[in-house]
Amino acid sequence: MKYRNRIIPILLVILGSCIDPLDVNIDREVNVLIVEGAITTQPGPHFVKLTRSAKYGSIFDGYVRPIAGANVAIRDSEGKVVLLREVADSPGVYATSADFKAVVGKSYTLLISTLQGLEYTSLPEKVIQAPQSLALSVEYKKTQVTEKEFRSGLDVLATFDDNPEAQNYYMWKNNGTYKIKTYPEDYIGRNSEGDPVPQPKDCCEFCWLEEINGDPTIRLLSDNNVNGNRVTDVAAFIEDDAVRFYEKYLIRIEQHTLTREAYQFFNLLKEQLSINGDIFDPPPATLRGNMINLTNPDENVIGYFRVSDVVIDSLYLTKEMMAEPRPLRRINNDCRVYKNATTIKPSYW
Amino acid sequence: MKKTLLTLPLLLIVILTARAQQRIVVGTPTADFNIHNVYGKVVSKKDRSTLPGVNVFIKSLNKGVSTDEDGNFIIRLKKGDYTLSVTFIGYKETIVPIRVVGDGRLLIKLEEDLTQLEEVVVTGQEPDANVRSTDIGRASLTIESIKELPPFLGEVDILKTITLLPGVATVGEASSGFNVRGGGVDQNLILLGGAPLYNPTHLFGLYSAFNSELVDNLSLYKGGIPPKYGGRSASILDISYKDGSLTNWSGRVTAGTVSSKISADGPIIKDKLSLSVGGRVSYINYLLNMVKDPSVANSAAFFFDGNVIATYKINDNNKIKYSFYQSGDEFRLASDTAYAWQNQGHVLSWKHSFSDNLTMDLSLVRSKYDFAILNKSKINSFSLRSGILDDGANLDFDWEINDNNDLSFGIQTKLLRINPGILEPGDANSPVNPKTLEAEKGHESAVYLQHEIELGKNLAVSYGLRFNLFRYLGPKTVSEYEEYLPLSNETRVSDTFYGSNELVKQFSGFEPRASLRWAFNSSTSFKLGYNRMYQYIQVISNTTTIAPTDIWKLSDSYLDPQIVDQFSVGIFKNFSDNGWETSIEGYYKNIYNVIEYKDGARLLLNDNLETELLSGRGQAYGAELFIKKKYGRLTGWLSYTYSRSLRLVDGAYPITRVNNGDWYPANYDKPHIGTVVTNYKINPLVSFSAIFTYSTGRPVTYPSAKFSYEATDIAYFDNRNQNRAPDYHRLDLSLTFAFPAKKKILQGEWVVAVYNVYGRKNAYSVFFDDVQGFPPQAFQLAVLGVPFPSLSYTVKF
Repeated sequence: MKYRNRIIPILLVILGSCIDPLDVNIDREVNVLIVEGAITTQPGPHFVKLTRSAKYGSIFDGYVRPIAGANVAIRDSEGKVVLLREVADSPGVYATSADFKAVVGKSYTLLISTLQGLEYTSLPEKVIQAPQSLALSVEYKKTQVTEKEFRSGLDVLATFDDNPEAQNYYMWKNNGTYKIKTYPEDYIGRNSEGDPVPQPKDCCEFCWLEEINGDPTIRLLSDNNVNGNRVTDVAAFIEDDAVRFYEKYLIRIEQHTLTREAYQFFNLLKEQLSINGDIFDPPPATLRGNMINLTNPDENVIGYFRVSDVVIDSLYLTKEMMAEPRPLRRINNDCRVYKNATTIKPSYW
Repeated sequence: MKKTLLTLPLLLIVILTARAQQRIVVGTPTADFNIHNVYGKVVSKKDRSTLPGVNVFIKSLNKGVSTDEDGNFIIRLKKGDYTLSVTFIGYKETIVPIRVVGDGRLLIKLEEDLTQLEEVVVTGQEPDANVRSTDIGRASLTIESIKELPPFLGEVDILKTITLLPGVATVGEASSGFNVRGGGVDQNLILLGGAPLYNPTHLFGLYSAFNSELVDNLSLYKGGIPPKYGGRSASILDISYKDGSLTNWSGRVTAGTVSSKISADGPIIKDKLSLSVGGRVSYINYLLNMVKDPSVANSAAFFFDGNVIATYKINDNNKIKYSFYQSGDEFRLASDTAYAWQNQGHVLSWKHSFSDNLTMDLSLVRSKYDFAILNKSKINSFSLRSGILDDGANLDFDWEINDNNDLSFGIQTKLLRINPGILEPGDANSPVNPKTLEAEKGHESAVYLQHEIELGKNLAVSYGLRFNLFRYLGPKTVSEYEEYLPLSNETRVSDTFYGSNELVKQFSGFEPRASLRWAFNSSTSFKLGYNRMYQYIQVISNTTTIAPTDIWKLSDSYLDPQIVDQFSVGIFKNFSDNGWETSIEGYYKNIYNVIEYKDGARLLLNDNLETELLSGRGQAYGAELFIKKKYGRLTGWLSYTYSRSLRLVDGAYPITRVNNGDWYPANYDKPHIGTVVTNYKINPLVSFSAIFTYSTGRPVTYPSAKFSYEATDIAYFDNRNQNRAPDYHRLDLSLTFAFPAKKKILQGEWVVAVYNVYGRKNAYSVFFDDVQGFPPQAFQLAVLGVPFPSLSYTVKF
């Protein structure tokens, strides 16, 4: 449920309100540990990423530094400890073994000890069981941006039966696979003078693209006002960007359970991301998580060590589901220039 | 002054008419060379009514006076010949040549100027009231003086005019209400004809929620608040309605660019019963539909308000008055959500005079505020409604023991009922579970006594006491929490249920009020003031504006009443026979039990709101400089305010602290505010006015770091309000033309105005947008960043 809405567009037009960039000088800089990690009931490896905050400013001004060489471990409520290994080529990213998965009902604690000897621990987080009844459906959505321009795509709706016995909190993650067609034979390159000249390529016209969080919006739900009901909510919005729907789009929706504290953290994060100059904007808030410095409990650590039970469902999205599909964009290049593109057809396709 | 006039020997009365041009001899000839008093009285030629505020000017001496509320004036002159120029709005200028030979009296009759459309400015106060009275921190305005100023967005707007006074600030264009001496918007008690107004604005603060045509005058009490008023901690804004005429019908119609309004008043039974009605309606919807942008064309913004005031004069000693007020707003966006709110007020009062000295005022008041959020989305539609019902009864007495001795006392009681929220599914398919939050009920009563006494020529004191009693009543479920831990759902251990009308929690307190005036001479005085205020209803809001998403909350087991102690001091001096008023005032305030809420608090539909709230302290101090020119072709004022408003929330745990437990500026803290307001009468038909206002930008929070999370660069904030938005300044201009016409129906008045003439993009807010794939960037939002012209036409009938 969204209570806040943009008041501004309307004022913008009738009253000449406007949003302009503002030059600000930020002299202060604090150094905060950032912990981004989650373990789920799905097979591993699961990752924990450790970084330090940087100065707020231009993209070159501050660099978010990874924290390499730390000892990272996870302890469960039965006292069993597993160590995480720093991933080669990814400093600051620590992974569990591939066979590690969280178990519903158990609690887990993240333990971190940095090279400088600082020790951090998370509060214990319990894995809450997810409802098994996840079903996906779609709804075409079109929003007029201006008189001529519009945004359109498919709302992927998750329907499930909420557990009436408990307060439940959910988060949806999405990833997708889709096939694209390009025209490498029509590629226009540049000669030594920098003038455009046709430079046909031999390969490749068909690729499969994998995208993680195609819809980057943080999707959360609290069962506060819908406890025990069959609930339907938007789990992802896959925009028709004139590329995705050449053939079909395979959407995989993961429904994660959250503890109340995790929900609050991600909700505040979402709220901070949604600050857009609306007159109803809340003031900026200090993000905290469930991580504590053992020697200095007042030190603020941002980030949440999250544990979730996960249920996954997938669905093919097609052009036919849309009332007004966009004409496909013609891409005159090798399809492999796209990130995460492969010419190997996935087994399930 | 009245008294001295009566005791003086009546030496000579000269009757003078406007036509007479022969020199009038004043006084009986005496041999001395002393300065003589010329006692004058100015009346209207038409009905002999006395005219207060008339300018009497002697060009040769560059000296002038104005008449008091009974139309009297005194000029001290040496023997000799003088020419008096007598001017008054709505009347023809009259030249009176006189020869002063001794002390004497003079009667001047003024002829009405029928081509003049402006109403007569009736101050209703002695011209030196600001110096002579014990009032400190009080500002009074008549509706006529407000109408002379440039309109705001095409409307004569009372609340926006208030924000031009010293000590009053506003956060910006889209901010409902105003901030008085470092207080929040919910700390102002706005009484519209006696009924408290909970949301004083239309369209999220762009317009005042009431029609200025029905307003007579208003008083704003910022300090030294009389014991008669209570319930809010920062200020009282008392707005009085005009009584309808008992003799003839008249009215006004105004058509403007955004809204139109009509008002009319006159007798139902001549000399007995009068009726005054008014209405205003906006047609922004029509304007929106003309915009081609679909997100605008599908939006809706509508407001209206209406008033009915009936006055029945039983006899000279008894008057019964009933007033009704209703306002409504609906705001729908192209998205699925609509916001709606309504104010309603009823006041029934009986004024009775036991004698010339003792009067009684009994009033019954009902005030209602309802607000709703309606979501019509396809999958999770819902409606959320809340409201306040405020029923009160007041019995006030005023006993004028003698000219220097006044006693007022009374008893007041009100029942406050709040419906904090009823959630319902919007249609049969919506999975939303209906939910009703427990209603709140509080009974607030007070008795008060005030004594105003003049002790000799120099000293006057006004002192009093208000005793209040607040009872939070059931039915109510009160949760208990583990000791020594922050209140949260996890630390909740038990619930106690209180039955209907059972006492849940009781508060009471004494509110001493006092002010003192020491007059150095007839035009200079020094004043001191102290007041303590209790407030039992507060707004919990995560915005700086009064919005339908706000939660009004009564003091209860976990939320103590807000208490404010204010000390104020001021020097008042008038120049040129009260033609210029000047003052310097200073104040210091301690504010106890200020509400804050935890970061990321869930405020809507929360059964245990106390788990999300924090209690803090506040401090406010400042100085106000005010210079006002009251008479002449050029009138206006200049004010400068220095004010600070600070907060401290220092709980035992990191999550129960704000700004790490250090003092921080309140959201509306604006240290420097300067305002220049002028009105210049080019000729009797055309006047020009200008407003310039400057203030420090409002506090904003800059990030202290950035970090990366979920593949997005995000700003990190660890303090609050330590930086400032760019300065705010704005110029408004307006030109008013009155068209003279023989036929009254054709007499009209045009007002052409431009708001924000040089299109300053004043920052309403500064925010930091974190967008995936882009460097972080600061932006500012300007609500009215372009010049906004408006035009209105008023016809009287």
